[in-house]
Amino acid sequence: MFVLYETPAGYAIFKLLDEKKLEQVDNLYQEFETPEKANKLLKLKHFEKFNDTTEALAAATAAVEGKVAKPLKKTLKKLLVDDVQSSLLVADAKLGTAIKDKLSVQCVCNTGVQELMRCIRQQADSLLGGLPKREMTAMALGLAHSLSRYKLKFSPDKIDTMIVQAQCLLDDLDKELNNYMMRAREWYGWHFPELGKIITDNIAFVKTIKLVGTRDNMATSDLSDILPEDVEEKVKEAAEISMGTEISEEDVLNIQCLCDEIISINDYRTHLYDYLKARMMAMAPNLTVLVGDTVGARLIAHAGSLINLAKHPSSTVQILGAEKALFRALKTKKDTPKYGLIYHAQLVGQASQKNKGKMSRSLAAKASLATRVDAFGEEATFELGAAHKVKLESRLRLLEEGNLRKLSGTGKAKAKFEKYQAKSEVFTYQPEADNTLNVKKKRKHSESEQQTPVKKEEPAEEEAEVKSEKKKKKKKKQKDEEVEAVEEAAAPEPEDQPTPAKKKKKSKHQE
Amino acid sequence: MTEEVNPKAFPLADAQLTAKIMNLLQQALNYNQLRKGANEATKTLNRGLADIVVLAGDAEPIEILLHLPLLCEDKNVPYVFVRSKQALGRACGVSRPIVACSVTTNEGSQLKSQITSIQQEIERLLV
Repeated sequence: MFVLYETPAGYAIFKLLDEKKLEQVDNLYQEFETPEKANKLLKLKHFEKFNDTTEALAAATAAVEGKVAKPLKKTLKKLLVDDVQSSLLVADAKLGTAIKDKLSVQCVCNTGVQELMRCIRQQADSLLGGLPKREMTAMALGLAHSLSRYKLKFSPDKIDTMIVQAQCLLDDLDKELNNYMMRAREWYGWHFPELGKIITDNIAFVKTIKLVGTRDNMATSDLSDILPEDVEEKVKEAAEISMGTEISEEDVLNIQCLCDEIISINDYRTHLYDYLKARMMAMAPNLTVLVGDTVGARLIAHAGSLINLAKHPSSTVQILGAEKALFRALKTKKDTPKYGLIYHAQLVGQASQKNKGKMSRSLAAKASLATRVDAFGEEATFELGAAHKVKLESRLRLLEEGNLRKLSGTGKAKAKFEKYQAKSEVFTYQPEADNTLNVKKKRKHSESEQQTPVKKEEPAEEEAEVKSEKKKKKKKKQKDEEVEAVEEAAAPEPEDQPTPAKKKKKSKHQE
Repeated sequence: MTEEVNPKAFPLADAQLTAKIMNLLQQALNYNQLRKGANEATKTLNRGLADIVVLAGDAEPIEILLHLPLLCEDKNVPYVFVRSKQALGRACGVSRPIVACSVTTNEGSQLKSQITSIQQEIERLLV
């Protein structure tokens, strides 16, 4: 049995001299307490040293991807093809599978092998006698730097980063644009305060200032390209009677520079939004169809990458963006939030306040599935997202109509009706039991006769009006109480008669 | 068992191992050590409570559960695909098909030895 041990300096092939030791994994470390003991168990068969850092990097990269590098292939061919019966212990299952496929060598990878690798690493200096420690350290450091640089250069998260940065920049641009716009309105407001109320559209306001300059030019300027006719007339009227101060040409020039800046930022924002939309449709089409490009991009930005978002369960996707509220609720043991970033999706916005929570939960579940298909699927189609959206829209329609409530109401009404019938059956039993008594029969018969018409009347009243069931319940209770009162009144009457013979009979009956 | 199994489903259990796994899931359900569904399996993996993750190879599309092998490799938890999601749902005591489920950890459980043996068989499948 051979052991493949990978080091920064090269591949080491050991021969395991006693295979039984591997079965006792818990005590394996005792065999590696001293270098002498370690050398008894493992013998270095061959050490394939790397020529330079480039070869070491290629081998490490192949190991990371689960492939067999050329030097390893040659080494294993030399050593193992002669000894077909033996097997090879490897630290990585994927590498073992690859070796098995290419060289038809039986590979073993389990917890025992992991423990053995730890023990070898502990006694690596003595087992790899040929290499000085300083050289091994230098090789390890060089390989670490090279591998990290390689990973950074060929990072698969590169595409996701573009979307994350574009989304963050879009948010920043919105804030900046708002600040500039407020500044422009306030600045020009000193000169022409009425204009801010007449023209409410930001871009139209800015273009008007650029075209006109000071309000003196308002009467002679042609604003038909920028404003509707009625608004244009209002502006020109207001210009003549404005209460604003006079400003110089230099002031107007600076205000117009600010307006130029606003217009250029607005154009760039439009361009960036189109870019983000196209990129989102290319990278995550199902998610984009389901929740929209802005919300989808925010979810990806919050999770860090599309694959990270795919690894989250749907309950986490629902709450993403509301972590502060969630932890506050958990700390104070109050209600947790129902939505996070997903609140701004179109489907949640369409729902009424009652159904927003249900809709966000359903949307999060479907969005989670769509994200996984986008992250791991090879085709860039949005059929799954479109199908899920149709289902969610129909479910939303069903929730808003409220048909389910009527059905449940009908069920409850039926249930109430059934309960009443059960009660009437109980009452019919009592009169029959009274037939066995001679004297008391008459009185109880009279009582039962009084009860029966009341029972007959009740169902008729109920059938007439269903809405007033509550009132009828009260009436039933009152009637029941009256019957009980009658029974109580009947009980003390026989006790008043002092006849001794009857007393004896009563005592017998009581017994 | 009539549906086609996706080639991405690896490692795929054969009929004998599948029977053992279904039996284990049934017992895990009785001992309350079973979590059903891809989302719950994801949560057990994130919390470090999962011992074995069982996935269905005929999920359509199969990408809806391909994040679980990634998480299993990160957490060093054995995972295995079975051929039928319908059978997986039946084994978990659910009337609907199930694409993923996980057996959770319980140190004092009577299922410990059974879980360990199936984990070793899954590890043998990988190499």
